[in-house]
Formats: sequence, structure tokens, C-alpha cells
Amino acid sequence: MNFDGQYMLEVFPTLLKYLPLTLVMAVVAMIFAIAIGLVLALITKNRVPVLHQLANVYISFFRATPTLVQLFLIYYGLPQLFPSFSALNALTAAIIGLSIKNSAYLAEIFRAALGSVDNGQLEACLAVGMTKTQAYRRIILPQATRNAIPASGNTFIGLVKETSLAFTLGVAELFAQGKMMASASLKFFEIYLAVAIVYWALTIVYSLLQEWLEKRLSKPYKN
Amino acid sequence: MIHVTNLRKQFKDLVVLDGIDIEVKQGEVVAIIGPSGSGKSTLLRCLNLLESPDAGRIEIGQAALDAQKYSRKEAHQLRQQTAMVFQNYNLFKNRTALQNITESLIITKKMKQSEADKIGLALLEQVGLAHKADSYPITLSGGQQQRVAIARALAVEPHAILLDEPTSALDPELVAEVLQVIKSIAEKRTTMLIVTHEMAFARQVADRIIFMADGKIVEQGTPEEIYDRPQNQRTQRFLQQITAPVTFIS
Repeated sequence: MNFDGQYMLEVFPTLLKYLPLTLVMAVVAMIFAIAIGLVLALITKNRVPVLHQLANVYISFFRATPTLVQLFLIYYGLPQLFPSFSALNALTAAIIGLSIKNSAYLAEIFRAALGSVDNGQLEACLAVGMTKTQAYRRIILPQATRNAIPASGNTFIGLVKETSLAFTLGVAELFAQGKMMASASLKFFEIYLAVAIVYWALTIVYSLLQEWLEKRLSKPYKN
Repeated sequence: MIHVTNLRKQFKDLVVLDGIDIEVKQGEVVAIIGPSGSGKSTLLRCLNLLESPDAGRIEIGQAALDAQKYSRKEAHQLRQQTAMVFQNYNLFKNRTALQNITESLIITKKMKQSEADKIGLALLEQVGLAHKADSYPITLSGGQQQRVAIARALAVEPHAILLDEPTSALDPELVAEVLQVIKSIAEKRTTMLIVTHEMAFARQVADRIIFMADGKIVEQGTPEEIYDRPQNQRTQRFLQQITAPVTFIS
């Protein structure tokens, strides 16, 4: 068997240098995806006329098309229609693409989470004189957040891994770096296993964070 | 105080409220009774626009609106005149007993936390639950939750409290503690509209009984008039049915 364990350990420090970029892409895209997803969910849940139909088309399109195709559409396709988009750098394009795609997934998760909050909660808010906005901010959204976290966590883990697609736009991130080192050393297995382990470790750390958050948010609901 | 004229509500083909007129004076306790499906709960829920009535006029305290055309602001104003106690409590699940009461004070009345807490604790004391101030709803019994809900309704100092079958979801042994609390606030001359199936209780606390059937007010009067000398046949039949001993066919 031809496996160079020593070499694999040596590449970790180099790979880890690219970890911040992966994290930035994932976290920034997640923040935008949450913001857009929440707006979409509120629109579809409350059946806002016109916007609700548009939101459904948006959600349908971005859930049904491959992420890679979406990234290519944005980075290579848009500048053809709108020349000003050629100023868009690859990293920004990747973040935009990943934000949009994941916002469509989160919109569905959030809609279900909002739906799982008993309508009586909203009625109780209105009955003591709160406005609908106050009710959502103080009572409905906090309860929906707790319901949305497990599924949103899945989406985030998916997003972390999808950042590796940015390499196809030419972003020098974790996976791209691994690929370059592999072509230079021809030690493919060692490099790609090391890359896989970095993603795995990232997911483990995130899962611990999520577990802590879930516990904290569940406090009011424990007997 | 409360003045409702010709209130109408229809769900598709079903007429639920068929021209209701009600007048409730300050400090009056009115119980609404009637068979299920008679529109009692819908009537109550139309008064704070949890259901939107199709037609009619509603005046409560300082607010008044025409059901056919009202603005969001008018709706909000009308809702602020009353507070509601629900059949299944609807306490805010993510808030403690105390926070359930102070929430509206802080959010809608812009009260300081410390000030709101003081009022909240006094109200919890009044319903006998001061020791549960920091408990979350899930840890409370149904009776305790409903008592917190009553305290929450009192907190906003509404012109009237609307109680929608406040004991119907409770285990039988918990009904008394909730009725006791309602009775104590009735004695303070709080204006109340109570939809209830507790006939004996209604007789005891209400100044006036309204009997509803098929979306109409069939008969109203003092408890003695309605229970002892009902004039209308439907009222007579309803009271007979619910007071008749339950018979089982073996």
C-alpha cells in the first residue's frame, strides 16, 4: 500500500490557512440566506398578494436547479447581459450564489417553523393590544427559531461543503488549494483525505455549537 | 361601554351571527350561554376582531368602528379596549408567568421593567400564584395557566374582559380555582363578557344572562328571569337538556 501518513500530517497547516476563507464564505452566505429566507417565509406564510407568487417562483427555481449551474449563471452568464457585472469578483459571485440558493431552502424551513407556532399565540398577542409586528418580534419568531434550528443546521452544514464549489469560479479556497497540492505531489489520497477531515472537523465543531444553542433555547419548554 | 349594533358574520353559506345587538354597562358582568354552534364564541372573537365581522357597528370604551370599513389603526385601537381569556389559555410559551403579564405592559404601554414587574407580581398575588412567577407555562397545571392568563388580561386595565369558555379545557378538579378567581374579579365590578357552559357559575356571578341560538340573541335577562322563568321555548328546551340527569342506555 502506498500511503504517506507523514505527508498527510504535513499538509494540514497549509490547508488550514484556507479555512478562514471557507468560513467567511459559509458564514456570510448563511447570514444573507437567513435574511432573505425569513422575508420569503413571511411573504409566503402571510400570502402577501403578488409577492407571494413571485416568492414561490424564486423558491421553486433555486431549489430545483444545481448549485453549480446557478454559480455559473451568475459569474459567467450575468456579465453577458449586464456588462457592469464583469466587475464582480469570483468570491463575491460565489457568496451571492450560495446565499440565493440556500435562502430558497431556508424559506421553506422557516415557513414550516412559523406554521408550527400555534395560532393562539398570535391571537393572545393581538388580544392584549400588541401589533402584529410586535407579536412576531417578541413571541412568534423566538418560538419559530427554536423549531427551525435543527433543519437550518443541516442547511448550514450543506452550505459549508458547497463552498468548495467556489473553486470552479477560480476562488482559491480550501478544496482548490488541496487540488493544486495534489497535482504537484501526486499524493491524491493523502491530500483529499486531509481536505475531507478539515470539513468533517468543521462540521463536528458546528454541531457542538448547535447542540448548546438548542439546549439553551429549549429551556422554557422543559418540564 | 360596550355597544354593538346589528353585528353580522358569515362563514361561506353558514350565518354565524345574524344581526346581534348588545349593550353592556360599565361594571356589568354578562354571561352568554347557548348550544354549541350558536355563535357565542364567534361573537366574542368579533368584539376584538380576531374574527372580522361582515357588517355592524362596534363601540367599546373610547373606540368605535364600522365592520364594513375600518383601518388597521381603528382595529388596533378597538383591540386595546379589551383583553381576552382563551379556552386553552394561550400563554406565551417562551415567557415565564411573570413575563406573560409584563410583556404587554413593556411593549404596548412602554412601561419600565421594574414598574411592570411590580404590577405583574401584584396580579400574580391576586390570582394566588406569586410563587410561580419564574415558572414557564409548560410547568404549570391548566388551572394555574388559566389564572396567569386572567392576570395577563387584567394587567392591561381593559375596559372589558372577554372570557371565551375559560374552564372548558380544564380537568374537572381544576375548574373551581379558576371560577373562584373570576368571581373575585367580578366582585370588583370589572366589566366582563363570559361565554360559558358553567350554568350554576353563570347564575352566581352574572348580572345578566344572554341566551343565544342560531346566531341570534333569543332571550336575555337577569339570572332569575332566564333560569326560573324562561319565556322562549328554545331557552326552556336548552335549560331542560342541560339540567336533566344523564341517562345511559344499557
